[in-house]
Amino acid sequence: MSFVVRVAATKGVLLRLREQLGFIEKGKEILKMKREQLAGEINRLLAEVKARGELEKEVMEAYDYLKKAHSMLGYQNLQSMALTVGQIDVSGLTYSVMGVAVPELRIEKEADISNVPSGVAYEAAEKISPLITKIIKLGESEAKIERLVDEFMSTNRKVNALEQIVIPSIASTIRYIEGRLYEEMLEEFIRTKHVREAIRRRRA
Amino acid sequence: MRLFMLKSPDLIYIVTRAHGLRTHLLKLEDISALIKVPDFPTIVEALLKGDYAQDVSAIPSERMNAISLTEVFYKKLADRFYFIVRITGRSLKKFFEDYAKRLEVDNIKRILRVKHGKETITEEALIPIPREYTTVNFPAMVGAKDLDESVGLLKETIYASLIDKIDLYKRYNTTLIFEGALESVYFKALWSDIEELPEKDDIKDIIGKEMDLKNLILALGLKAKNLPVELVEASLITLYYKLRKTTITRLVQERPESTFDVLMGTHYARYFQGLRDSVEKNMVSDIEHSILNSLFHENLKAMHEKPLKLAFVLAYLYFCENEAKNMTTLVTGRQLGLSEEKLKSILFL
Repeated sequence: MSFVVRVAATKGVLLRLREQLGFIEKGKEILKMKREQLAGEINRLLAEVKARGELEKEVMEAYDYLKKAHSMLGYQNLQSMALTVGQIDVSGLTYSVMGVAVPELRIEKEADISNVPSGVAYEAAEKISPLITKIIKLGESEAKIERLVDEFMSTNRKVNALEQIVIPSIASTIRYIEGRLYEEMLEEFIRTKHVREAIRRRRA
Repeated sequence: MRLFMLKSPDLIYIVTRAHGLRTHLLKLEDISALIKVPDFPTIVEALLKGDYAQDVSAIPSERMNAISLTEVFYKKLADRFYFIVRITGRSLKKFFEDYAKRLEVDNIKRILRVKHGKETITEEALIPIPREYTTVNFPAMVGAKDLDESVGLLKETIYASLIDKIDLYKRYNTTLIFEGALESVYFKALWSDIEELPEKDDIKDIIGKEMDLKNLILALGLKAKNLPVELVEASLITLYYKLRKTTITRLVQERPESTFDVLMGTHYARYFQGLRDSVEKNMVSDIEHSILNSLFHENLKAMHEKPLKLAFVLAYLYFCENEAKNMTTLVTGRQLGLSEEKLKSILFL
């Protein structure tokens, strides 16, 4: 679906449009490369996110241990024991993937569960603690995917717009100008021919 | 000979009262019936008929949950403990007063854990202990700005030795040190009271067994965490009955595959028979549950075999504590949707 832009059909405009078309074609290629890179990164992250099902199963299993501890100790007692668990330290950074700022979470210090006094609470903490790390990493991957997919879709739209609208319309404008210039050249040729004929007749 | 057999009026009175009080406890059949109850409201309905009726009916319907019911169970436990203290004659009072201090110890542990976690705690989260039976200023401990201040408030109490543990606590950043020290203070006070009791051998056997088994469970738990020896030693009860300190040290230092053999060499080997797998896999909660269940059955047996002895009163107090634990497990487990089988496996029946 292309349309012709109303421009002056001059050689100058034609040259400028050809130059523009070349530039846009190059831009399109770069955007395509970016799209492929983003798709590759998303695919890599999707493989990490696929482990979510397994993680959910592990969480449910750990939750059973927590339920057992909660039931055996009661809420107040378990809560006080939970406070003996050392805090987990996580730092957040952002880095760029093809110009997209994505988050990276770094676990600086794992939770220390060695102070949990009761056996049943310790077992629950032992099951849950490594899962917290996994959940943080999964969250990081999901946040990355979300941002990369946004950028992928935006890049895809740009490539499509260039391919389907901008490039065809410039190309057709170029064709139009070329046609007009050819017609003008023909007109000029015929006019010259007529003038030359008239001069020849006058001389004769 | 006949004079020797005579019991003190205080002892006869407290044993007789304990027989009457025992009838107020939930029977095993009642607990088993409650396990089968399909939902939480039906349990509440059942509780509105028994000894808990007054306290349960005082809970507003929007606050009717496992947390509120647990508070009721532990309030009832404190009432039962301190009722025994109140009705006991002078010669036995000190012992039962010190026995009931296990609730106070539990409260101090909770406060110190919360202060360690830099969180706040309210008095509602504690077991209610009558003011006249505690030297610990719980409102001040709860309101203290940090753990140091909380521990400092124990200065004028029997737990003053905890203040000396602050440096060790700061070195290892763990409340296990205070918990070990609290248990040691508790059992030392109780142990010295036993010397004054009329049936001291019986009582020594009950309290000593509880103390030693607690220490073994604690040692197994600490071993599983690979903590430094200094910290492990500071976290254990420093009093031993039929155990030797060297046994505990060996238990902590031996390789995991030898742990079971060390346990088999102790006076308490029978409690660990059939637990080889749990011991080798460091499943401390299973070991703890199995031992506590064995103690429960031994106390049940003691109730039948020694109905006229002080041991009966101790068994009654043990059953009160057990009922609070069982009921907490039951209502919390039911609220969390635990199955009947799962509930049976974690209750003391």
